[in-house]
Amino acid sequence: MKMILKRVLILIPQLIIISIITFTLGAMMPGDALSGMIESGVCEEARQKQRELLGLNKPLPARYVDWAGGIMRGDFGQSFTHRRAVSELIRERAANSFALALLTLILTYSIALPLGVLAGRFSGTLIDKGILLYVFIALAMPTMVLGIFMLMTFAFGLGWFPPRGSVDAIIVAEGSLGEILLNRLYRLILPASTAALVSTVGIIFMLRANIIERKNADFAVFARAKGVPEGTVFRRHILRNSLIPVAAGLGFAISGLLTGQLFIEQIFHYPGMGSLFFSAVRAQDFAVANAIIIIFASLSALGMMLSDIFVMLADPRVRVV
Amino acid sequence: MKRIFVIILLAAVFVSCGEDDRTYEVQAQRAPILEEVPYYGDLHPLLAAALSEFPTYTTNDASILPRGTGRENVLRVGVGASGAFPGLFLRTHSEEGTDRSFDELANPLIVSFDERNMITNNGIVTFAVDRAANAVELNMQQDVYWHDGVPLTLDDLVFAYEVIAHPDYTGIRFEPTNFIPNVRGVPEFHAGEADEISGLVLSDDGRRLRIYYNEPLSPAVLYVGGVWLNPIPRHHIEPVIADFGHAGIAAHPRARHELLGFGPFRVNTVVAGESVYFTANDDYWQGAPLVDGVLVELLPFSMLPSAMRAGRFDIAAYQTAGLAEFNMTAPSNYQLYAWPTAAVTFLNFRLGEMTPEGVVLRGDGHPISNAAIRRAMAHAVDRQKLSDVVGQGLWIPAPSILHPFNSAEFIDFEAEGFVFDLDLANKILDDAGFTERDAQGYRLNLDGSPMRFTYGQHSNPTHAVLVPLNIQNWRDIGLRVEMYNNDFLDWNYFTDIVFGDAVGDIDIFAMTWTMGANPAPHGLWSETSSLNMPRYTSPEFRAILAQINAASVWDAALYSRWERAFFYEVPAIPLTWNLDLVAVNNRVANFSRVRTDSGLNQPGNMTAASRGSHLIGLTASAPYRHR
Amino acid sequence: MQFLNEIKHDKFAIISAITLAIILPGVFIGAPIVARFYDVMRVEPTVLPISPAMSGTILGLDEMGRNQLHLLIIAARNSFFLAFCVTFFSFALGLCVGIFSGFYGGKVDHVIMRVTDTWSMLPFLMVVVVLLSVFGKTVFNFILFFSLFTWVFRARLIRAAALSLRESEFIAASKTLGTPNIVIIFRELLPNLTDVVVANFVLTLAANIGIETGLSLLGFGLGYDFPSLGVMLQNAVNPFYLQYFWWTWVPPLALVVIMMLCINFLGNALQRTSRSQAH
Repeated sequence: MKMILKRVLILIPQLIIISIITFTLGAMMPGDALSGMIESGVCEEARQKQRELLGLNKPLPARYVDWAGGIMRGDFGQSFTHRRAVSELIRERAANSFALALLTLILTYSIALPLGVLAGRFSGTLIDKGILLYVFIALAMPTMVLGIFMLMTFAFGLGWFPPRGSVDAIIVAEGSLGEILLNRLYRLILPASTAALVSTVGIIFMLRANIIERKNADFAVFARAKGVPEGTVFRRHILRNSLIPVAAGLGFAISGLLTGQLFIEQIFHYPGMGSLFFSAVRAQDFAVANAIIIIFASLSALGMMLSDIFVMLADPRVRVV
Repeated sequence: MKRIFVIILLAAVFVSCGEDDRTYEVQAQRAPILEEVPYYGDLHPLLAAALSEFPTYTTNDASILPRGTGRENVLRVGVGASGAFPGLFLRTHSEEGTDRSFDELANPLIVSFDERNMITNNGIVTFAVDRAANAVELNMQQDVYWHDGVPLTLDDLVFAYEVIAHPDYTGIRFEPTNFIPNVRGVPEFHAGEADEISGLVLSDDGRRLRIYYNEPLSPAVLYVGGVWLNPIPRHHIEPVIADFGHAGIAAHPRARHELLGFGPFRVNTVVAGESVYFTANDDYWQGAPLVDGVLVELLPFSMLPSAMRAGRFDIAAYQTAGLAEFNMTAPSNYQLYAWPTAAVTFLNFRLGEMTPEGVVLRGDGHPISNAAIRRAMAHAVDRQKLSDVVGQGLWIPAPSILHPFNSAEFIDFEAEGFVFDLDLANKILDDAGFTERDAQGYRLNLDGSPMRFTYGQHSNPTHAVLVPLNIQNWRDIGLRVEMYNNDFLDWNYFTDIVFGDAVGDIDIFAMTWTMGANPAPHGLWSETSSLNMPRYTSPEFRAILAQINAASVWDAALYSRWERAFFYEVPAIPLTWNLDLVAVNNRVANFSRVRTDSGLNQPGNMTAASRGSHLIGLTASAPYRHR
Repeated sequence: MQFLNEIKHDKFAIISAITLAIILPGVFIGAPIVARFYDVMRVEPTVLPISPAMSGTILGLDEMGRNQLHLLIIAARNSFFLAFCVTFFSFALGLCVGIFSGFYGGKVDHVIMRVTDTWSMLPFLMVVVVLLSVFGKTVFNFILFFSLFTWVFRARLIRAAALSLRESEFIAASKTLGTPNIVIIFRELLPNLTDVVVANFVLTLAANIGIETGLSLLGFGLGYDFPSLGVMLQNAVNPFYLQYFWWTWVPPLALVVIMMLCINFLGNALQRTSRSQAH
């Protein structure tokens, strides 16, 4: 218990360091992206006023304190391309990203677990070889390209899914809650399954390796010698122990998921935090970009902490701190 | 004969559906829209020829879905965009093109205009210029209501001026092209010294407004896009100011998804950054729309043609690459329509900087200040290839600084502008004395120093081709041109640099202007205009511009003198005249690429649906798919 | 050598080795030759890409008139070069830190591990993208930033290996003999780490090719200044090109997949070697 508490406490300095690094990064960036559309033109006074409003002229340490204080309050500053509070922007997109991540996670494990178990149990057979082939191809195929193919086939070719968007505006306006949720789910399937197909790789590999290792371990041999049927040996002894590291990897899976989602969101034009990040970078709107970096970093830290805690709980012999 | 039949059919549909009498009456008035119009009579012959390849209006005779059908009777519009839209629709504060086109559906113009974009008097408000008094007079001649039932008055227009000219205003609309700073009393108001704008004189019933100006008005005010004519609802926005101040308007929902308008459609739902759903406004003064709503969705340009083939949209505005795809895929479910844009792309040379007193030419001795170099460069720009490759037959090299909407009196159709001739370019440079070259073949300056030019540009299909092509051609005449930062710039960053005045950062860049139809050079080329992108002036320029401004009518002779000076001193090179493309699904009826008085919507550069949007009807329950 | 033995039994590894032996020298020699004799970046814009049949070239031209075959050779070399440099420098840095931390252990190790842990929490891809857009997308910057943010993963791996090796007998023996630490590191530790390092290097290389391709495809990597396979693949995002102009994206895609697969197979063979040796 004490160890778990210790592990949680370490999170705080980590977050602080992350914030300092992100802030330094942010300060290096050209901060004035104020501009207008051609048709209107821009006059010098308006731009100067904007600089003042956004507080871009103060010295560095003061800005850090301002900024960090703001973050604690949930204020990430203003986005100049969108003319709104960054936190609002992110809040809108966060739900989308979260939904995508959740579905991807569910699909990933639904695919990876059975396949990994099958490959491990029947290792060396055709089933195993088939699964390995799939894994290798998934490994070599850049996520982007798989995404494009899926998009072309299912969205444009067959027309089963719309090529972009999180939800249909008309349904939001007029449909019932159930209809809205269903529509969201429907539009999530394509990006989520693409993401899942690619992220299953690590899990399948690990699960399969663990199972194979344990299949030949002492206790398994002993159990078989006793006369316990293979199936029971597998279920009772091998499976449970193999799954633990996989579960521990959940934390890593989550943080890996976030980065992988960046690409997926771009390809499927899914309005989540990833595509917000990219469009912000393109527009040199670094307030938004930095906010997202810090959020992702914090989620990573959180994920790792959960991983460590889980491992500590599952296997008391392990010391992570 | 067929036309009358169509009218009767339409009328019958509506009578049988039990629509109220008022709507039926207006239906009959709408019929004359379906006319054959080669109406740009004096359009450049090449453009006219290209235009004639495309239909003018839909010839869909099927019966239109009645109102109340629901989701099937929603017009689906696809808009090309590379990212999300900010969602700030309120016209006084919106800064982005997509946002503004959304506002066009909900807030049409209060004046009508003709095919030359000159203001006419068939709209909500009449418009007259009183030169003697240096004023503009507006008179409301219709009863129009905001979507919440409150009557629209010219006080709402006054309110818009008050918001823009306010000292705490955070937007970008306080600038000379809409003449707001020029209104009498505005400088005092803007400085916080006055509570009201003295130059705005409103009648007691709010239906008559006179706007007095400080400086003499140029003829530019006669055209759409000149004087600021977009009202915003005082009763809706003033409470926001009371609670959040002027700085809080932009972030408030009432400037966004709770936008209040008076047009044929009102904003119903916004899915942030992706799509906007409008529902019909039955009390629209020109009659209730025929469709139940409009759904506008964003999609990258490259995906629009596939989406059209898949039947996802009824209307989508294409880039010219869509024409190639259309020709190759020969879709059976939609048609392409084209019309001229009021846009010209100029390749500018940065020749000075803007100071509060006006333009000051650069004094760093950079070779770009030498007109011979600019002339040579101009002859090395292959505009024909640009037109052929990117324009695919829909573009022509611009023969003049003006654009296709302008009258033939001002444009010499025989002229060719700068002809692409590398030999001529080389000769110009040799004659000017730039004969020495360095080891790599690049010409040296007159004093023997090497010459380097920086070309900065954002990325779009035009510039993706134009920039490498130009750099290559300029290399062929011995001039070394490099891209700023070795890459295309992001749009915002690009405009930041070119509107700012860091001389020496970018020497060459291109910019596209969507202009009103007025030939006034004042807005773009005068020495005090912030939109003078080349930051150039000269004694000759100043003299001619002063003469043009002083004249009361446009004088073709004066104008051609101006153009000759322009082509001699070359602060910028006009590139191409373009036709815009729109794809329209076969289930759409009553779409015409020509909408003026009847449509009361702006030419618009994005949602073609805003053209006479209340007149568009749908004849099937879903857009047709390509088989 | 053990490694060659391992490969002999693995059909895939053999095929991969042969394929790479053809491709890599091919592009590394071919690229300078092509660059010298052909002006690959010369643009002759046409409306649409021109097919191999119509243009008389092997792989056709893209819509800017660039010869796809020549561009492919150069792009393949660039992709590999970039991925290799990134992997190399991140390993170099990670090796130093990992050995130092793993070998000396104790407080030093603890502190270093905490630092690397925190550093590794930054979403490196996002940070690199931002840095590139601020400081310019040059080859130097690309390699610099990538290495700066990915070395932590190597460090952790090497540290784990170093830690376990530290306890082994021969190192303990050297220590009791009084050999200076530096010498131990170079003479005893490093050679034993080689297997792990090399296996991981190869696998990371494959992954980095994939990452760089993904970034360039999105437009956040390098541009046509230093074309890589990802840059060529930008055409694949366009449905029109995907459907009608196969020659603009199939060759680069094929190369990316083939390179990544082959390198992966070899890497796996290497890993099996190192693992079996450990036992």
